[in-house]
Order: sequence, then structure tokens, then C-alpha cells
Amino acid sequence: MSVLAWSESLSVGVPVIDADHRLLIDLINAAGRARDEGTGAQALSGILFTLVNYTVVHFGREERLLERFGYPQLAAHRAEHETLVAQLRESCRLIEGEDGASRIGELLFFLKNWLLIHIMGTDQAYAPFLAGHEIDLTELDRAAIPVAGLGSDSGETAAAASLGDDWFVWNEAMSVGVPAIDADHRVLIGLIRTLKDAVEAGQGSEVVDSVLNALVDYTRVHFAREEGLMERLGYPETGPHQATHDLLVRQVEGLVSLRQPGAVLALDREVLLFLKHWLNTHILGTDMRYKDFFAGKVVDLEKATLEDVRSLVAEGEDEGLDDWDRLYQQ
Amino acid sequence: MDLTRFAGITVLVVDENRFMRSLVRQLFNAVGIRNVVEAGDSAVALEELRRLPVDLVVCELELNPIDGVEFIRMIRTAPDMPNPFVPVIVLTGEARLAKVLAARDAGMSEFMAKPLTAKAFYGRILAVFEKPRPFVRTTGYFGPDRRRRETAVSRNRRSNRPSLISINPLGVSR
Repeated sequence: MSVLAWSESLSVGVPVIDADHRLLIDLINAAGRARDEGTGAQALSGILFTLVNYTVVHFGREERLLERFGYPQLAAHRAEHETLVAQLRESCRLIEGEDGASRIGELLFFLKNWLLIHIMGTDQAYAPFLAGHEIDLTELDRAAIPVAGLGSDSGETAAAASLGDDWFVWNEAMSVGVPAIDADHRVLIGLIRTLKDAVEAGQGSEVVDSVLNALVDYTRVHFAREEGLMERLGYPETGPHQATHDLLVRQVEGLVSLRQPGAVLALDREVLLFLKHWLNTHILGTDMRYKDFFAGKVVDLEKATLEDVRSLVAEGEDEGLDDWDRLYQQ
Repeated sequence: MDLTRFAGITVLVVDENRFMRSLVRQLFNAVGIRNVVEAGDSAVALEELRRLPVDLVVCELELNPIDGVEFIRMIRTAPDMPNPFVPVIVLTGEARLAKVLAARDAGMSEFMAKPLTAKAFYGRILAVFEKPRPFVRTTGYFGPDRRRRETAVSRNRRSNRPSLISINPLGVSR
């Protein structure tokens, strides 16, 4: 696939929006590259889902911005976004299904063209309108523009990320009635908070990647524990629940794969908001659905111990030497 | 082995970076190990080692005021260290091999590189608990056996035969 390059002609005169557009272009290029290089389907669909999610995040941000300034054509602009989101959701569903892989190229091609036409047409239309306002658009921080669009109506904003201690905390309303699962959720929330702190403090990859890796690994440990419990107790929605877990793991793996050398570091913040949003809505939505089911059962799940990470440690252990072995061979 | 008995151990985490310390603490807490003490420099860490019955140390090699390698050597050999057998897991961003080898020769127990993964992290913890290296004392070295676990090396090969010290580094009955 030909590489899509950013140029000044694509600028809408709002640095935060330009930054989003650049990131979307980077993601499209990364997906195209992954496809051309025959990268595994898992990583590719991970990037793709990230792309789709980020598109939604971006639309939310752009719409809030236009809303704030009373852009008269907002309704039509929003309708255009909604149409695309619906199409993307449908494409994702198809890619999930049989022969999905063959549709990836089609989706990428479509998205690339859609984005170009949208940025150069519909988006450019608001550039003069915004330019007429007295506010200095270069001062706008992307963090100060609420991120909506992932279905959140809690009014949470990226700006709240800077507000400190109550940014993302476990509370009783998040309890699923199983202390061991609640404990896992608290661990995950704690790691997401640490990720936020590290990203905000401008920490390098040694730290940020460590936290991200730990978060991804522990998420898998948690999912395995939760799925095991659902299966043992015969929870009827185990299959669909598991599917949402699998999808998240793929999405996050896609995000993490983008953080390789030459990675889009602007992504850190988005990863963060994505994870926070995902976990929040997953706990309050998908997990809550089993609360009543578990309530009447004898739940045989203890808080995690080292025994619970044994399968994680054993994974792919035969793939090579551990750090010590390498060291000793020197 | 029943690993739940390790829940009560005390861990000392030594790293100048507070985010790393916090991360390591959370990874221990996640598996029920709640007594985690943090030290931002090696002087504080040595103080904690004198003050507390520490069962496990996780440390960087980039440390101040005493460098990580020297810090490990002190744990193993300084007369005022209450537990020279304490397992020391090095978690470092140090890229220079010579330095890591120096840490090995100072008596580190396990090693992992930053950025860490939970898989590697818990792997080292399990190794320390379940496959502790026997300690050896030779004229130039005191610390965990530096050879690969379970390698069949003829002991006669050595002219300077180490005295193998059978210990239970964590002091946990099994």
C-alpha cells in the first residue's frame, strides 16, 4: 500500500486536530506496513482495532471542540462521522468473521481514502470559522479537550487526567461481589494509575514499557482467573464475555507493537485513556452481568498468589534462554 | 510447594526511580506479598537491611551513593549485614555487560533487564523461591553458585573447590 504522507495542505489550523490526523495517518501506514510485511494477523487486527478506536476518540474530540465554538455546520459534520463509525463497526464485525483477513486490505484502502477526503473537505470547511475566533488555537492542549465517543457519558475528560488522586479509583460501585475479582480489578486500576503518573512525568521507555508490559501480563492473568471461574460455575455468557477479553488483548498488543523503535509516543496518552475507559466500562458493564449469577453460588476463587502467575511464567519458556543463561554464556 | 507461605516475607526494593519502585511493589502486592519496603538510594537500603529482617532484595545497578555492584558485595560480605544469604534480584536498565557480570561476581542471585515483563519478573521470583542456588564460598567469592542450574560440571575440574553451604535463604520451612 502506498504510504500516506502528512503535508501542510492537510492542516486545519488547529494543532491538536492536526496532531490527531497525523496519528491516524501513522496508524494507517503502520497497518499497511504490517499487512505488506505479512505481520501476524493478530498484530494486524490489533492495529486495525486501535485505528478504529482512535478514529472514534478523535471524532469525539473534534466534535467537542466545534461544539464549544458553536460551529454552525456541526450537525452535518457529526452525521458524517457517525456514518463512518457505523461503517467501521460493520467492517470490524466482518473482519472478526470468517475470511476476515481478506477484507483487511479493503478496509485500509477505504479508510485511507475516506480520511483524506474528509480532512481535505469537511474538516477544511471549519478552518476559516475557527480562525475567526479570538482564541489562540495553538494554545489548545489536546488534554484539555474532552474525549468522548467511546460511549462514555460520564463527562470524563483527558483534562481530568491531570487532576490528581481521584482520576481512576476503585469504588464500591465497581464491586462484582467476588472479593478475589475485585482485588484483581484494583491491581489493574493501580497499574493504570502508575502508567498515567509515569507518562505525565515524561518517563522513558524503560519505565513506561515496564508498566505497560506488567499491565498487559497481569490483565491476561486476571482474564484467565475470571474465565476459569465463569466456566467452573457454568456461567451462560462465558463465551461472549471471553470474546471481549480476547478482543482487548489483541487491541492492546496492537498498541504495544506500535511502540517499537520509531513508535508514536503520542500514543502513550491515548493508550492510557483507552485502557482506563475500557476497564471502567468493562467492569461496570460486562462484569456486572455476572454479579447476580455468582451471588447465589459457592465461589471458589481466592485472591491471586504466585501460583496464579505460574502459567504466565511457563508460557513459551522453551523459546530460548533466559536472561541469566545468556549472561552466563558470556 | 505451597507458595502461599511466602506471603508473609519482607521485600526490599531499591531503585532511584519511584515509578519503578511503585510498579515492583504493585507486582508483589498483586500476588499477596504485602510487606514491601522501598529505598530510593543504596544508603537507605543498607539501613533498612540492618533494621528489618529482609527476605528478598530487588535492586537496580545504577545506585547512589554506593554503586549497585558494591551494594550487593556489601550485602554478602559486610560484617554488619544480618543476612548475607538474602536473595538479590537485579532489575536493571544497565546495558554494559561488564557491569552485569560484575554484579554476578558480587553475588547477585537472579538478573532481569528493563523494561521488565510480569512474566520475567514472576519467573525470577519463583526461581528464587523454588530453585534457590546453593551458596558457595571460595577464596575470592561468596554468594549463590554462579553456574547454570543443574549443569553437569565435573567438580574435580576445579582446583579451588568451593565449600557448598546448605542453607534456606528465605528461612521458610518447606
